[in-house]
Amino acid sequence: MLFHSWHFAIFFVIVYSVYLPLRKTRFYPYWLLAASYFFYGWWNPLYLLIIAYSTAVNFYAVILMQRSQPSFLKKSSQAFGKGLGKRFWLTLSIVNSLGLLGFFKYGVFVTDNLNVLLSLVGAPLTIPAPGTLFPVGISFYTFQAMSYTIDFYRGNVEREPSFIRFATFVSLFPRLLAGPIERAANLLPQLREKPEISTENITDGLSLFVVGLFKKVALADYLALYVDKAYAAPGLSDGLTLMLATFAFAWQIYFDFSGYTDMARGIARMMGFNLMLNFNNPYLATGLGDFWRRWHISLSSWFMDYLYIPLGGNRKGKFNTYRNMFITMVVSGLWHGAAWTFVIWGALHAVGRFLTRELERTKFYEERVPKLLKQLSVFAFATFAWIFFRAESLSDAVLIVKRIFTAGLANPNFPILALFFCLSIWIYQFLFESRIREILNWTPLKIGVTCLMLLYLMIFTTSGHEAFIYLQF
Amino acid sequence: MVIAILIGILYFLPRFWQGLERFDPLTNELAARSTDYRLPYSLSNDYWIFKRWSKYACSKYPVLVIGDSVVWGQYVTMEQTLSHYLNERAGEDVFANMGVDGIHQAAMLGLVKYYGKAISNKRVILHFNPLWISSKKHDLSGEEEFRFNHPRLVPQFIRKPDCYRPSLAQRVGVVAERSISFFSWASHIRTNYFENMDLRNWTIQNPYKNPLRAITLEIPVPENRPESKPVTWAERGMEKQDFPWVQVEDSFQWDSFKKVVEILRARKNGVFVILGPFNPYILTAESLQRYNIMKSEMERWLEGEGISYRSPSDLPSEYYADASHPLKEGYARIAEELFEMESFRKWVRKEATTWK
Repeated sequence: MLFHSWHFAIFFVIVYSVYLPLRKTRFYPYWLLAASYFFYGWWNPLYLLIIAYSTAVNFYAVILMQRSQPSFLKKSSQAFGKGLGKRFWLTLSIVNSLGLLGFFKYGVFVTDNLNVLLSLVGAPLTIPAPGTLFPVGISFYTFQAMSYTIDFYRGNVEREPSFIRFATFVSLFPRLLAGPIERAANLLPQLREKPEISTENITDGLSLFVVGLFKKVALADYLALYVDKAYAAPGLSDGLTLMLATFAFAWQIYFDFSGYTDMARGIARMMGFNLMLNFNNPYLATGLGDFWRRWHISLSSWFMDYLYIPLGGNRKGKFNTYRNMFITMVVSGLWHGAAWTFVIWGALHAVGRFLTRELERTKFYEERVPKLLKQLSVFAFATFAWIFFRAESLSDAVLIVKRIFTAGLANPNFPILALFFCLSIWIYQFLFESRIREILNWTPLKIGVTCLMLLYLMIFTTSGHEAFIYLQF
Repeated sequence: MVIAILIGILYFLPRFWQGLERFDPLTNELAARSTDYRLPYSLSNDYWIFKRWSKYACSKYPVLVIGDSVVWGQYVTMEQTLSHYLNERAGEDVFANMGVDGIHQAAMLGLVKYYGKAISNKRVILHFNPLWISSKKHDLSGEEEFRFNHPRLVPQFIRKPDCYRPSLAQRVGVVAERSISFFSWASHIRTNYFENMDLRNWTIQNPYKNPLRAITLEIPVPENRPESKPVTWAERGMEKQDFPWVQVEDSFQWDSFKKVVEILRARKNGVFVILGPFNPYILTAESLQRYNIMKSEMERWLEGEGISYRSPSDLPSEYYADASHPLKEGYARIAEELFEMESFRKWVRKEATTWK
């Protein structure tokens, strides 16, 4: 069930009309959980078994961690630090979560690569690939559930006593399929309260939803028409077409994913919940580090907190810092998909981060290089890296890079309107981060823009329901 | 506030647009003979413009001739259509050509029900083209999915044909288009200015064109030429057909046609039905026999309901362009035959004097 479908509209009207009176009672998490499971089961009822299992393991792991603590404290003193029992249950839950993710998401990738290795050494053996069932959203809710378990282990959150509430936290339908990956410390307390829904909640939520819808339907799906054609047969496209298709893809994926997030945040806002900001004008970043503080913020901060810092972060010298950064970025690439193209995409970003980090430490770069040039360079680099993210295969990605520089320039037939949209939104974002932000936040202007977006959607687009790119992750 | 503004826009924009986009067929100098106006072929799927044309025609003509491309005149110019010859016989401009290409009866039901609300207290000649019940497929009573004309006009939820399987989104979109004139207006914008595409696809096809310039605020003038080459069915190389025909009592199209008659009568319109013409020479003997039985059943129903009708006599073979479309001589003959009926003449004269 996609947000921009009639199925979802009908679903939401029913869910919301029951939720409104129910939210003032202690039963509302039951309703939200039922709605969320229905929403998820709509894709495939089998997915419910996986999410329920993942939820139960993390919930009970925390209970066992809590129970193991007093007995451990009795047995030992400071020698084992936080305690073996607690760590054991944490490890078990993490292994379980990553095992689930590995099996469903990386099983085929791992067996494919092992089979290639086996054939290279001439072994007469082929490992059968696991099933092809890929539960949508598994990467998102697995990470969210893991964050609760790890945060409890670290003492950052309290144990959630209600299984229903915890299951609602893991599966809350607005953010279930593609995030934001919420932290327990932010969302669980909201679920413990009886949500307040003001007029502002509804208007802001609706506005966010319309903006997200516009980004998805009017922009992302529009750019996809050009991108898909060029990337489907890169050998048939000239350099300029591929360059523009890559430029278009940079905006397509931004509109697609941030559009989804806006819709998710809008729906949650209407229900009285505040989900975290996931995108903050990423193409205005002045460095790759800055880019990752603006792009998919909930995931990059997750990797920062649960991988980069535990690996040592930047505490143990330059080499270890870059090693940790490299590992984090490559794992982040792999999180997006089980393919070498994603690994290279992550590695490229790691290299970009090294470079910009070093440059940012020089006085010349900091003081003399204009901000706009830095922003354009980061955009150009991120756009180049998207080639590996979008290409169907590694060989396609290499071919695209090669053809961009060698295949010459022909008439690219890139729609002027698409270019106009991308540039207008870029300029808008520049203005939004300038001193005239207050003007752009003027309520009548926002209302006018929202109305125009809605009118544009109603007049100029027809009902085509392209799935969100990030649902495949 | 946003909702209030939007409702206002949804309500007023299509009305405001009518003032901007001039639609006055009878004073259009580009049309060959303005009273023979028919909707431009390219706007056959533009129901908003049909709505405007039906309102306009209701205010100018006493009798509306509704039907598919047989009425519209697939193989003839604007001055060779059935409505033209009827006007010629009448000696004044009485009949409006309300034909729409591809309007089978199930689509006609949607067209009249949702977009032809202006047609009330009028006289209507309703054409029934037997081709639409020549097989289960044409009748839309088959179960195999296939693409047919005017899916946006057929029932979307209740009594939906089995062969029509759109997504829920498409069906809800169609219902919205029928119920809220803003959406049929938006569809008109896409059909009239963007070659029946949404803006995204149109700009992919026309990357360097300015979409705002495409909105010229002009409705195209119908080209005064036959849409298909006006040659006989024999010259076209058509062979004899063994149409299986559908049982009248099981026919979805006939059932829809009966509903069109009911709606028109409920709106206080006088209805006159033309059953056919149909090319008997193209049918095998068995098929022709089945056709005649079927036609008799239809005639019995019309008689039972007290509806005036005429099944045109068989035309000479060379007057047919295909199975159901006459050539210009055929239209002239049918008009002549209708005016030979005293009851028809009275019906027209009465209305002509009543409605002029």
